[in-house]
Amino acid sequence: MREESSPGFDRFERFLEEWSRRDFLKTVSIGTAYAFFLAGGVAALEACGNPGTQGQTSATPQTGGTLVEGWSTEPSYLLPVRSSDVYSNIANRLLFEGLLTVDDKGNLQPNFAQKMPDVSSDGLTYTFKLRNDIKWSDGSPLTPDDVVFTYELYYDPKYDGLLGNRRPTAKRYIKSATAQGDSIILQATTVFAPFLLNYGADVPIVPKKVLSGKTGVQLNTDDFNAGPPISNGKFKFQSWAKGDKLVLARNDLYFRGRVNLAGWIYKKVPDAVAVLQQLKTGEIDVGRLDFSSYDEARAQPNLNVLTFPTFGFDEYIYQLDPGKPGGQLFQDKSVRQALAYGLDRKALVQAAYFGQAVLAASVIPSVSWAYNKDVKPNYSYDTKKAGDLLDAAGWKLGSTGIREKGGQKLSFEMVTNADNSTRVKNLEIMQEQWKKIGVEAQIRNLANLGLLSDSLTSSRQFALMFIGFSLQPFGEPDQSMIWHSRATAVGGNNGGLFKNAAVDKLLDDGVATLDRSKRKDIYVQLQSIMADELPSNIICYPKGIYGVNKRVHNYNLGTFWLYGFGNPLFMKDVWVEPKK
Amino acid sequence: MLATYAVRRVLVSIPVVIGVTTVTFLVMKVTAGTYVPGLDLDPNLRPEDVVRIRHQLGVDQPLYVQYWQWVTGIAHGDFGRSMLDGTPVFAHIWSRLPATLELTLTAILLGVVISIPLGVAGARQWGSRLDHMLTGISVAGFAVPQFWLGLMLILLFSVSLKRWGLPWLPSGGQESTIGGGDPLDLLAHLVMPATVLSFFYLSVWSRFVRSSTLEVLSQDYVRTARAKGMPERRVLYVHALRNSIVPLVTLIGLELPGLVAGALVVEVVFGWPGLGLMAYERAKAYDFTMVMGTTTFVALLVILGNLVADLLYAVLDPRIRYSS
Amino acid sequence: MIGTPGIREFRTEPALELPPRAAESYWRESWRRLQGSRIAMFCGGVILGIAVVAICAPLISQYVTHYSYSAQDLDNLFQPPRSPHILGTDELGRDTLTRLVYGAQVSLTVGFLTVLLSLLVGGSIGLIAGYYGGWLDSLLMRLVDVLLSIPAIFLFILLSVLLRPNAITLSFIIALVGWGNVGRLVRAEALSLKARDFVTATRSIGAGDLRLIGRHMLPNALPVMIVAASLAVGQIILIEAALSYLGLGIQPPTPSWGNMLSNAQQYFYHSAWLVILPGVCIFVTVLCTSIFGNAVRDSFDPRLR
Repeated sequence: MREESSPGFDRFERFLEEWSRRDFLKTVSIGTAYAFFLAGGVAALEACGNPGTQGQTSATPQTGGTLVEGWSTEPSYLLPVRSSDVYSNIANRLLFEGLLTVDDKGNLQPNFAQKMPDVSSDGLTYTFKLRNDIKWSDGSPLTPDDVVFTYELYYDPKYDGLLGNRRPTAKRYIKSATAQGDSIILQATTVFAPFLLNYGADVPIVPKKVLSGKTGVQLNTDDFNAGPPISNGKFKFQSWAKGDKLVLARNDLYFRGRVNLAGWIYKKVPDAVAVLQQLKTGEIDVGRLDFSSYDEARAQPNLNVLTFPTFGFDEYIYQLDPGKPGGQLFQDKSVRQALAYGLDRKALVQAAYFGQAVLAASVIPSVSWAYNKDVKPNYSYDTKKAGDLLDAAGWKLGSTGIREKGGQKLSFEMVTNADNSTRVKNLEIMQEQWKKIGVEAQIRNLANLGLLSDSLTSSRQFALMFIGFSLQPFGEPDQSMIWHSRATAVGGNNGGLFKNAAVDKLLDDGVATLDRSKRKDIYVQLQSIMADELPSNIICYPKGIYGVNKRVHNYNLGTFWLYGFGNPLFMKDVWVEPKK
Repeated sequence: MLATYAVRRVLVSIPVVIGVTTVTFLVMKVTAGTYVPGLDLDPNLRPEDVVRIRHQLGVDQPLYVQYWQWVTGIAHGDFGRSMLDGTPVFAHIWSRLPATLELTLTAILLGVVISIPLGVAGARQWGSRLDHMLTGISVAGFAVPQFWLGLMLILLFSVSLKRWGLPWLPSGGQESTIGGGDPLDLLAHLVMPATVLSFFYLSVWSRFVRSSTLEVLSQDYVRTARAKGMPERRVLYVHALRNSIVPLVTLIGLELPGLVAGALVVEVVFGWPGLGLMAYERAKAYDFTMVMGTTTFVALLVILGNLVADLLYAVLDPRIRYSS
Repeated sequence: MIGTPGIREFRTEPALELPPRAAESYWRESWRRLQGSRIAMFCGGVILGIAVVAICAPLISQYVTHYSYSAQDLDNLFQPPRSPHILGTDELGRDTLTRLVYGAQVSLTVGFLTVLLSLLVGGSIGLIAGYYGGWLDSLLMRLVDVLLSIPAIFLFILLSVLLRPNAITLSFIIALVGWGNVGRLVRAEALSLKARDFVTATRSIGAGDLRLIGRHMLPNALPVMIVAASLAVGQIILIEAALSYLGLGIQPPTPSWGNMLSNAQQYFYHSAWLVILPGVCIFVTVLCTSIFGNAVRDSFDPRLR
């Protein structure tokens, strides 16, 4: 860039020489005082806040206004079948709805169907009668052809190549979808208890006239994903500035009547800290909160904080394949159980979740109808028992403080995704607690959730992984996609390669009958075996925590009315006061 | 002659450009190999899909072919394709560039506008309490981490002010989500990030202006001008300033990479939708082609900026074009 | 008019004037000059103190605080400063003082090691380029231009995401990307040295190139290198803090001032000292290294004679 030092550079150097030829005593003290002011003064100011005015309470819903939701990850695909993540579903379920829906207790209700479907005696055929008053946002009627076309996107082999996480299972269970007059007939391949929840309530209908004639591969990148021209839900698409905000406008032709809100915006916010910040300043109206923000959010005068139990559970998975790293160590059930006894999960929930999670006792979340609270064994914190189990298994304390057996140390690597601070904290706590019983657990974090999922579903190169699941449909206790041996195939979620014939049978039987009491018995048995075998240790069921600005009314997010599944009925009644 | 100087400068830049593209290519290949996130391990993809997408991304070719494609692509403005969704990198860069330029240029402007009077004041009242105070502030500005300053400002101007019912500044983004976009709104969003970004350079530049001015003020021709009764203000702003503007320009040019780097951190703190924030998020998502494409683009911008600064310098200071 | 400066008045500071003395070696003389500035010595003392504390971190952990930097106390989260935790505890009940002290280890290691590596690489290349000149010089300087054009932080982010570095590897990464400035400075110095008589003289008695560079040019280039180094330490500590803030620097549970600050950010509401303490540590260290570094330059830079 410069053959020899350019004059400007010389100048610069000379300037550097003159920089500090002064007595800096005063200046240093001024500088330091000023830095302290920055830090301490601001903290003091923050602390003595004056509450300010509350939002006016007004009982009558107003129409109009826009709701802004802030999320740290933005949606990917607005074509429902293409999406694989909950963020896309938050948006696309507001645009498209299905034949059925669920109420706030998790019970199925008719939506586009006139009434609940007739089910044949063998449990394989579901006949829906379509309402005749459903319109697309451009005024054209939604016909049985649209419905059949949508289902074909999920199960028909001619759309192979279409990506998204619904197709693999849909192909297993949906045999066919046909239209007869104003009826739609869905044929299941086998008796499948969650069929209606999965394929009645959670298949949003998309327009045939816009999407037909394209192949699966073309649909992957079709413009529909970034902006569907028509919709049948509460809102219709308006604009999407990627990386910034997705804007939806009220759909006046929604069959239940116009919703109160005139607009809805999905705003991309940098991270969880910024979500709380923007909730405080009112830049966003709704945002999911980190556990650590709970107390602070509750103290905000302009926010309501919603907390409710969810169907999610956080756990760590043992690698059970002896060919994978650490797999040898966990072959022995008593080692797995000992590590569970050696973990103070109560303290962990308090420290990592700030108390906003329910201590887990079984593989099935406590809000489920299939939950058995008396599952044994119950892994309460007992370091003596942990030590005894390990001793009995041959793992004796070595000179380094770490247990050894046959010259091998009880040492392994734990992995989770670095961008989730709660999970990272969990690992740090687990590391310290297991140190006390002579186990050396090292932490290795992957950069993001995508890499973690890849490791779980494909490479399986982990000894112990900390991960969370939130199984859908909500309220459906089936967990085949995590524990069944067929889920050990590449792409399945059985990353620990757990294979147990008894568990397989129970999982299969559990969905093969539609009788709820029979199913409950099966799941009770399942929970006992899982607690004993312990392929993974369920830590807790995290609660959902959402900050909602006080100007927003009827925002009834809940255990069953949560994002990513079905379509939230409550959105119709949400209304906002005008911003000041 | 100015023309020959300009031509020489441009010619000298060319190997640098080539060097930059080579380095970024090497880093890309070394760090990523041909691993494509979401592609290699997506079980829904059929083998023929994988082959097709790999071909689209160009990762199935031998290394030298890929390098040649990379370099010729850049000449056409093709900075590769994202590994996450296959979209062209340049489209992303182009959409995010205005925001970063707005932030960086405002910061430079702010820095210059504040540091000149500050430096001159310090020079005029050399050795006084004011001077020491200014020096102290600028020294402190040198040592405060940028992200910390940003967080403190947000705490003060967004959260606390709002709490007290005073007019407050928005805590992030380029414009308000609802009803934004008007100049006042844009300005309100720009103030804090630009201030934080310029803060560090403010301290450096004001010191520079100060010492440069001091140097001029001690020259004989200034004594003469003063003796002839020229008002002090003219002396300062016409003669002294002119002397320091020129190297200040070069200084800014030297600082360009630092400014762009600083912009990244500021963009992350304030959620400013620019190139830096995009590169950061994409790096975390392992979208290496996007990150390296952006890096190459920014490096080329920096080279261009330096070139312009040097030429400006040559225009303003005739001694340069005639040397060697 | 207040203090119209004459040429002399602003070029030298009275405090650094030497009394008339017989000729001393360059180093001694510079050291004396440095000692004359009280502020610089104070800052130097502070840095030395921090370094001693950092080196003695394990001892402090054992005998003063009685906690290790990773020992958690889940019943005592977010304790304010009070006995037995002198500076309180953090979000996992770990002792803040111990972590700050170990954090000093990390931050100072990264700062000094990076500078050392940069000097090694940059110094060697600068000397070679300046000495040999010609096409080698042009080539090496173009390389420097390339490195200086690429905004370092983009590369840091990429490499950090992939390598999840510890203090040592982070130093290598930063040094690898940032040796350019040192290289340029040393080259400029080498160029001017080359023209000096002692080089011609040494050559004429048949000294080999390597010997010339190593034994004669290097010591003369040292002051410039020292000057560059002393200023860089502070900046590198800031870079490490910024990288940790972005979640990419030193990974927990190993404490660094940067990642302590970044972790504690979300708890500012109720535990502000967890944010303030590491921040102040960074600020004080960077400030002192900058001031001391400037004073070192004032005293040691041969061009200022």
